[in-house]
Amino acid sequence: MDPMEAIKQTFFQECDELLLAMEEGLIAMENGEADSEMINAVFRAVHSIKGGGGAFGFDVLVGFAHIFENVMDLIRSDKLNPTPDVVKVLLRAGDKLSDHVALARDGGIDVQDSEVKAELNQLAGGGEEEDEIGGEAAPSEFDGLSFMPVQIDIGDDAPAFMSLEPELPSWRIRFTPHAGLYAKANEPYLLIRELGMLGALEVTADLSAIPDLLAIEPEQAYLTWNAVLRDCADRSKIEEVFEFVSGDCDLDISEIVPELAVAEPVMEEVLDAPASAVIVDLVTAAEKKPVAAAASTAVEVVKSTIRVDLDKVDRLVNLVGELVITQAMLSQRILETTSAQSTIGTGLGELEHLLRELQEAVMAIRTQPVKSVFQRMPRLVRETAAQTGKEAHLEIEGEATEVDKTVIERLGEPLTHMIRNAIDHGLESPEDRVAAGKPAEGTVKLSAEHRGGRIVIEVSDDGRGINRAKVREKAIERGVIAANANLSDEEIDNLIFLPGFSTASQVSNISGRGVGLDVVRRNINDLGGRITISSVLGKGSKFSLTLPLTLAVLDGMIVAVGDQTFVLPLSHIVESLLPKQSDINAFGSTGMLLNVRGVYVPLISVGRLLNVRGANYDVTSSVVILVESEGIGRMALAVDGIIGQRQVVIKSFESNIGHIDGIAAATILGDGRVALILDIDGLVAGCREGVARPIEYQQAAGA
Amino acid sequence: MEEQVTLPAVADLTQAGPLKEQLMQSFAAGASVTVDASSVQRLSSPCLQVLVAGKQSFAKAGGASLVIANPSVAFRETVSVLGLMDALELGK
Repeated sequence: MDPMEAIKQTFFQECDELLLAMEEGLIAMENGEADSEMINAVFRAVHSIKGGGGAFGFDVLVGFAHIFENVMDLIRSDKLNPTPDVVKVLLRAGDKLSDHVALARDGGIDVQDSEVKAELNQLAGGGEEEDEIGGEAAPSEFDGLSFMPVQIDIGDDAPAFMSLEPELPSWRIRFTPHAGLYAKANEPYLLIRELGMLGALEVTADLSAIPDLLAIEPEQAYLTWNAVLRDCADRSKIEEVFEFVSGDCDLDISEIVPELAVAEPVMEEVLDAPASAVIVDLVTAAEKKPVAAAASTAVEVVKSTIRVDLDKVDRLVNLVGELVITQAMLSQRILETTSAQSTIGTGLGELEHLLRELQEAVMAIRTQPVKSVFQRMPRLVRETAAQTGKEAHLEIEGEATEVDKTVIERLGEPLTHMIRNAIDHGLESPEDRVAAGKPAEGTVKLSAEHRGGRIVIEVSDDGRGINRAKVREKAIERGVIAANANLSDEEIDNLIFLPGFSTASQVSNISGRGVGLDVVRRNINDLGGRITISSVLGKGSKFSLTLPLTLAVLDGMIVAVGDQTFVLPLSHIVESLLPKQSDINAFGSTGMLLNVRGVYVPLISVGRLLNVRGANYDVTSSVVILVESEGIGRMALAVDGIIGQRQVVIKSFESNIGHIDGIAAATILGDGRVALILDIDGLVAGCREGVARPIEYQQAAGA
Repeated sequence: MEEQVTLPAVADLTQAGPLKEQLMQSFAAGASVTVDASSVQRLSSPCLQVLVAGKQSFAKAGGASLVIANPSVAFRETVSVLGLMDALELGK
């Protein structure tokens, strides 16, 4: 990778962390819990993003962060009181800053920030500050915002006035050629002369690196040029000049922003320093400007962390998985050949215990608190509430709950859907809420906890609850259920997970576009999780997600079919039973139905379906496992016997063999044999596609 | 004692090494040196680095000096664009 690109990536990673810290601080301020250290942390986060952004030339981002930073600076120096109204503006500014970072990283449409900018400027007392970078005119009406005269703190080391802005921006350029630049016969003279054609240029050469005549290496590079270029509209023009030597020099272009005196000294420091200095700046900024008296005393003990490539961690997880398997094989062999009383047994037990701990510790490396996902939600609630004209407040619980990184990564989308759904469909309008005797502001609660080796995430609201009559009506209208269908409350509630089902009478911007809960359910099922809903009319609804803590191991039921062993994911299993002959009914030429307490479900013999040698095709003497699959419903799988329930290490073979319908992955059992993990969805879908499939298998079996 | 070094018309990267050697000889001998820059058409930064280093080293050692004589238009232009007029003691 291009080294610059790598540094940029690091910058964006840091931005993510800084934005989280900022959001955390702002929310604490909103709740009135923020101490000066927290306010400082927000200031530093914004400041560091600005500094880093400047080093990479994200001018729009820097411009916005700068205004934001000014306001934060006033607050931390007690010049501005963080009233709830002020904090609201700050929260919106934080959202916009995230957008700016995202824009700088991913590109896309410009961020509409003129309104927030105007509000920030208003707070900073500098309502006239011209938006010279973004190019957006500030809206002329500032209705509802009272002008707040603010005294600006002026340090001894800074001039006491704002310089007049030049008509066009000025740039500070620091250019240090590497030896390679000379070796390729490029000449700074030509570059700098070209630069001089862009505007008024002042150049000074930095001679400090030039050694004595004795020591000088004629073909090395010792000179650095500092230039100030005035009246140049466009940064890209400057970059173009250096385009052909970009790999052979250090180049730092920064805009000279005439700014409030207070921020100037630190700003320069950041912009002049190379990009990697962003972190260091966190410290220097705090040291240099100990505005809050508490800042010096309340030095937080920083947890030391290292960044490790995920591949390395995965390799470790994989190796430990192998180790566990080998250990299981070894102890099984040893115990088979020695007497149970042998002292070897005790040693093996200890080894197993240690290995289990090792495995847990290794798995824990991959886990992260759900905080990283949860922290995006307050913003979502604010925005969705604003868009729908509702008042909503988010309560978060258990954000320290840890879960595997892969699970976290895939949790964002379903949670977003669910929270939007809760506000858009769940909460009533403020008027309706007051009429119903509830506070005008609705509450959405997001919680996470560990329960029985899985993580349970709940999204609940205190809104109107599910209107079952309406859902039923809608379902009949859509032809999802028969008009006279007799459904339990739970079954009606679950109808809302069906594709294309929306009870919103009006399609809104937020939800009700027919993509929503069905997507949520699919996402959750893909993660090996389940989603349930409970609702009380008029009181609210609660969605519960249960998810595995990791995708690297799986709780499975080990079943025997013929001479093969298979693993069924426990999350799909409803129950297991021994069928009576009278409960089994033939259906069509090859199909079978099983009567489970009055409900008929399709019955499939796994042995026959997969053509397993030695399998018992007689379902009456088989064990039947009732499984449930998304969208397709329940199905009964007949197997020869159940061996046990066990946690297995998932070995994906997609990278080696490719995808196989009906098989999710493989694992290695204690006795060293490979067992296939059945993909219930694929298996069931395969049977449902038509009768053709089982026949194919049968033909194969007969051949 | 006075020695003279003449800069070639094209004082590119390859000339920086020889230039250093010449300046070194004078420096070692404790002799002042005059660098004739009258025929320079093209001047590279590596050569300039050597000249600046020489200028500084001579000044530091004291006694002898390094003077640039008869700079051509191209020489002056390059040195001035690169902001090295003062370092090489070239007046306007």
